Amino acid sequence: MSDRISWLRVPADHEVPAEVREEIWEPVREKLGFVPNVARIFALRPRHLVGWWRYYDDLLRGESGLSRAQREMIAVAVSAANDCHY
Amino acid sequence: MSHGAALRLLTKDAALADQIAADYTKAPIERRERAILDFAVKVTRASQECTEADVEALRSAGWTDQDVMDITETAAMFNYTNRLANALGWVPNSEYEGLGR
Repeated sequence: MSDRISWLRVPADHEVPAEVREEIWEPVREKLGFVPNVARIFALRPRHLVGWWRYYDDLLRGESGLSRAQREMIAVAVSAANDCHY
Repeated sequence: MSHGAALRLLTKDAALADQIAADYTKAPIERRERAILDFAVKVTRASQECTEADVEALRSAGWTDQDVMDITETAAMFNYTNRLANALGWVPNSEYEGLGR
């Protein structure tokens, strides 16, 4: 089971609402070339995924006095402190 | 792993991203960036120990109150996502490993 990406059930593509696929999966696949596992896993609760995604996107890419790189530095330092490898 | 990749792509500096992940206190970053990371890591490890002096340290490094809000929200955001990922066994896409290298 080395291909498992979550301890919980990951929804099949056809279960995922169009809103999630159109607003999140398609644009990110166009940009990165793949759908991040978080966007598949979190689709178990589609409304939570959409709400989180909008806030996250604004926080990381919206207008701010911090550059995008400075915001990603926070991500890297916090994730290291939490020993999070995602 | 995914944010190391994002930082490598943004800075075109793979060593910098690796250094921040290994020990940000040894990374060659500006003083004002060091102030951000000191605060973000304190929020992560011991938010109950944060004081107004910590906010003052960010101000004296040149950050506005609105910036401090962004810094704190961003630190809190990654504490949220890190907890989901650690608690539920989330695995990042293997594609991130090669990005920006």
